[in-house]
Amino acid sequence: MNAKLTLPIGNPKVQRPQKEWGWQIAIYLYMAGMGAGSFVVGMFTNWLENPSITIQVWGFSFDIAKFTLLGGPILVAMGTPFLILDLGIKGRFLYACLNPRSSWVARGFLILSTFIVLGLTILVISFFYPTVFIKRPSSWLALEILSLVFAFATAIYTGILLKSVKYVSLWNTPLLPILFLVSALSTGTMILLLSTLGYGYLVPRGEWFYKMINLWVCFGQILIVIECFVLALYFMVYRKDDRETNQVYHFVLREIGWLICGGIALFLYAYFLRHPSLLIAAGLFLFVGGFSLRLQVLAQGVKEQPPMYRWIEMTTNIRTFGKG
Amino acid sequence: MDEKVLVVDHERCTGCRQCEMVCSVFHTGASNPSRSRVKVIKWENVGLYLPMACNHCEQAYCVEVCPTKACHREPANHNRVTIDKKRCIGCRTCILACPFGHPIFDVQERVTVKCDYCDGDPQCVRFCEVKAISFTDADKANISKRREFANKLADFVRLRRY
Repeated sequence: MNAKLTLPIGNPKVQRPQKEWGWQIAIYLYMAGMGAGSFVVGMFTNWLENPSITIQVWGFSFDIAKFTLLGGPILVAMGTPFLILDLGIKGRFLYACLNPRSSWVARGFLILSTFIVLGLTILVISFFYPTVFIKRPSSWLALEILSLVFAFATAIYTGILLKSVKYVSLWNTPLLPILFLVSALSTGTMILLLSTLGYGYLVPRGEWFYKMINLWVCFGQILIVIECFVLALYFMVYRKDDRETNQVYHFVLREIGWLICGGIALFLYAYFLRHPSLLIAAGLFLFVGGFSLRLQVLAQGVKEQPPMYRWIEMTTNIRTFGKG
Repeated sequence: MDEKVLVVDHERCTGCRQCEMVCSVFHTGASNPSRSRVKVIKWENVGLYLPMACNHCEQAYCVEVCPTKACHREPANHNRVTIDKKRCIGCRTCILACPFGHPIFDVQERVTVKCDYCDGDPQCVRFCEVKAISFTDADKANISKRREFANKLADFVRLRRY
């Protein structure tokens, strides 16, 4: 008989990327990272420059510069419904904090909730009482430092959540939290840059405007270089079979491509042509790159083959590695 | 109570998937293998079948990562790891954490489910005609595996010698 095998030798069932977490989780991670990153950069800017644009509405004075700088918690709060959307039973989302001793989902719930509460408190107070930044009592400074710590924790948590999944080798690396932290800071800087650009069309552009833009362009350039370096390192550390390495190689190349495009736009703005369209282009490249980074890291998460499959395939001389 | 475990002999399994059927009927009332707690992994081209259920690991990652403590261990009940459906939120973190591809997400109930030894009388064991799955004392299962490994090693050494 000349019967031929109609099925591939490998069992692709066990080598497919995970499908448990999809685009909703990617949006949640992206918004949490971007919000926390913008808060960190905004708070440092506030400490360094303390910009202030006060407007009068119905006799009350509001500081819209502070609203831009410290608006990160709003983005984080906008991202959390996407996590709830991904749950099987959405009404039980409050149960998600019951096991903080060993579960990173529960810890994340607490970290993000604390950051949103602290960040929004600072935002509301600074929006309605801008004078608090001039007097800056010690209790206010303590609140700022605490919220900054939680902002860092939120940005790095998005990577730790994935790193805690031990049997997806692409995720189980200490470089992933670092990569997500740097990406959070770069996308956060970009949203500050674009929103300041937006304000520039609404209120008269003073010295503050160019000072802020130049500062964030400089931040952005440094962060892009660091992010490219971490991405390259991430790929160099990751060594698996050919099929997986190829997939990761393409995804890393695509990400570096987005970053380089954003970096070139910022470089051109800083040294040759001070046109706002270059900043918008850089912002868009980095936004798409930041979201694509999370989505691709989630989508490429191939779970390792269970040990008994491997053992059975070894004993019966079937090899699945590099196939399927 | 003596601790018992499910032991699978893949050499006996014919891939009939009766275990999946009875498991789904027992737990859901529906004859729907996709909702079964036991899954038969197939290598059709070489006629190899492996029924896979939860291993109730000593260090269970699903228990560690569960944010709601819905996934928990019951030492009084064969030291099994089980999921409380009333607490599960369906986040699927346990599925990602498990190295063996379990638990499974029940799309109708919207929660994660897993093998619970059918409360001490596993239906897959009861209905498996070729006795590919057995529910034996943990100590005995270990001894038989060691014996099997020793026999295989002896055969291998014998073959190498001659």
